[in-house]
Amino acid sequence: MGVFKDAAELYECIGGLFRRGAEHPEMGPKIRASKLIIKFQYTNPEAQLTIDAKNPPPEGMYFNVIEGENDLQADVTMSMEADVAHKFWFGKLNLVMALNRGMMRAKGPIAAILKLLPSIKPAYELYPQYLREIGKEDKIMG
Amino acid sequence: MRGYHGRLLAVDLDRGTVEPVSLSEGYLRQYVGGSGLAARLYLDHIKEGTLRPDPLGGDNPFFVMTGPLTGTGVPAASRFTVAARSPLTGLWGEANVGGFFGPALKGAGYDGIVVTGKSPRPVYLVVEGGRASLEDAGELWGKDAYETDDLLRQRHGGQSLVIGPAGENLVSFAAVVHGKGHIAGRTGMGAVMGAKGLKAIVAKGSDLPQPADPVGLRALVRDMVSRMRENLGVQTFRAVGTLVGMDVGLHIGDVPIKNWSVGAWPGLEDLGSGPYSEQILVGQRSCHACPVACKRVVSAQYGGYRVERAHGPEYETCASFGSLLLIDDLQALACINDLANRLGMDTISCGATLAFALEAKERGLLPEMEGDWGDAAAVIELLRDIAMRRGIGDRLARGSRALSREIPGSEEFLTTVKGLEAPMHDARALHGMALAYATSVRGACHMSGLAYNVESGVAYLPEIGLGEEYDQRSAEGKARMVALSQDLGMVFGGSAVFCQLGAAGFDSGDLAAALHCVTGRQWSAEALLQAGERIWHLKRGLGNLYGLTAEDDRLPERLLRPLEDGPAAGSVPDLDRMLAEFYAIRSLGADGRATREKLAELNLEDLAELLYGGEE
Repeated sequence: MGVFKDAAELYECIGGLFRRGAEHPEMGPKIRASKLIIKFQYTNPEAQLTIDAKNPPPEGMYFNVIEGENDLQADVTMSMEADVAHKFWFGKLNLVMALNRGMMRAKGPIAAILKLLPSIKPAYELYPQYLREIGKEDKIMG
Repeated sequence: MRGYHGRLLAVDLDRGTVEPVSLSEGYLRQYVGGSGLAARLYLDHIKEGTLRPDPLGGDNPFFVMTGPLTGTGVPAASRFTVAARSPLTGLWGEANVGGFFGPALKGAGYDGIVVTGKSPRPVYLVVEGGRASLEDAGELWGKDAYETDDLLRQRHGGQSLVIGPAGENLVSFAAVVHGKGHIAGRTGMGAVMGAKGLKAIVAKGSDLPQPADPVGLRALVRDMVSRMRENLGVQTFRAVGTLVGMDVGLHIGDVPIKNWSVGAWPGLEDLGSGPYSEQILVGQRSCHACPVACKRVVSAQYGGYRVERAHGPEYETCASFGSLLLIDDLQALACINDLANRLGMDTISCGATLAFALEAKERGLLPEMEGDWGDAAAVIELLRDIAMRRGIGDRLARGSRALSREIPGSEEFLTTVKGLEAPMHDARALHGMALAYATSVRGACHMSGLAYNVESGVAYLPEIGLGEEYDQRSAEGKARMVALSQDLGMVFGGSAVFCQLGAAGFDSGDLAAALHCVTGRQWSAEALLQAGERIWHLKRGLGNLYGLTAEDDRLPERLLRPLEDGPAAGSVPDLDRMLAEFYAIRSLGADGRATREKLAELNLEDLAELLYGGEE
């Protein structure tokens, strides 16, 4: 079995991270400024998270985070195994290698994807902090 | 052998003569072309002439060499090499560059050129339709590289290889410039041309050698281009050029900041591909037969300096003049890049030398240094002073190692290996690069092999045993990785001459297939690796001949000092372990020379004789 036992656990961990990101004073405005809809499609377990920075967000958040299938037209779609995503949010994935070897597949304008990279840097510190807060220390990568 | 003209143009500037000389088929088989063949021919020259020539003397032969794939239509293979003993390092020097000159030289009827001697007056060489002549360059001397290119294009058409004022004035890191933006920057080859009084080379023609299998070659080219379109790494270069290095580098701590002294700086985000596209990008260009078009075209203004639709700064330049000097203004960097290109200087060595001098000033060791961190206006003035050898510029023009030798205590923050300023990739983030820098045949270099591509994840080469995911912050397996990457890289990027960016998705099978279609000769992966090993030892041996020992296979203290902040904070490569393993793999003795037996195994007995002489 992978890191997450089911989609619900993935939504709790990675989805929770995204929601923290949506409130983050540094990350949030930068992603909001991109005005992109980014879909993350996961396998093992099957799940989908969407960051919607195009439509108005809820109060106190800079963008929407949507769990599961939806009808939004994505500008960028990233597909990967859930374990690959988990490693990525710890800053421990060799992103270049993952993209080149197809471990992570990207659909959409490459320049727009690269432009977002600096915005998500704080997430690498945020993710282990968040997992600790929700009692998921066992998922923290050393 | 098919794919070659089988001849070199020999230019003797002492006598003012030009004549064709035949290339040995045995050499073409063993060294393929490009810098590998240049190194072999260089050794033959110095054996018959001066063994240890002054890099700026007439007896230092200067080579311009194409590869068998140049001009064939094989994608990302337009590059050619310039090579000689380096005035910056004193060792074997080489730089390769793309554009259109390589195919034009091959079309003019030659596989390469060797220039010896010194002209009593400035000249330029014209090669066209198998003929060649030396022309008076009096009117061109003193003009910048772009003006010179324009004038030669008006006079002759074709493609030009030129030097700017920096080359004329023997700046140790002077570059050779082609097509107003394709720069053979490293190791000071522009100064070698300048010392010879050779302002430019013009090549024109379409007499390309017939490939051995034209039908097979066309099919192969179609297949390679198709795979390039599907390769995400290659498509990233197409989308944002080499600036992807900044986007990814700031995540892993690969971008050096403030003379490699700190690990984080807010300005870094302003230098990424996003701001670049928004602020200065107006188009993109390609090299001959390359569908990637990674070259950026920019327009910019800084102070009174304007750039109109010119070649834009690459990643290396955005780091060497940007993060290294704390300049986060892309308009300024585009202007600095344009000026450096026009003056004809390597932006890596130049930026690194300025960073070194600024730190020396900050520490009170070089009070006469002008400017400060983040001072783009001062950099523009300093570039002119360096190229014209004025004031402090005259001292900076000799490179940071030479300057450091005049400043006691400054070794602590020098960033050269074997005299060559380190490129803009931090070995504290990618530990294999520490070994790659320490053992590169031309000094600190990320392009002397494929190690950077392999360790960063751009290249995937399981067919030669380089298919694993390397832990970038570990010494584990890195000695083997670096040695194999050097071996394949010597042929792939050095001799063939593939572009390491555009051809990043290709492997040894693609290289072998392309060489087979063009030359008719079958290559296995093992044969390619052995040829690469031979070439690496040849270039290394030339270094040994010029005094290189094991003591030189070191990184400077600054590059191994742990950073206190940033993504690579606290990380230091275990260079001693990697070196010990590497020396065993390479059959290098404790003094840094390859064993006699190893050199004999690689058919380099003559080099062994020079290195060991009568030693038991």
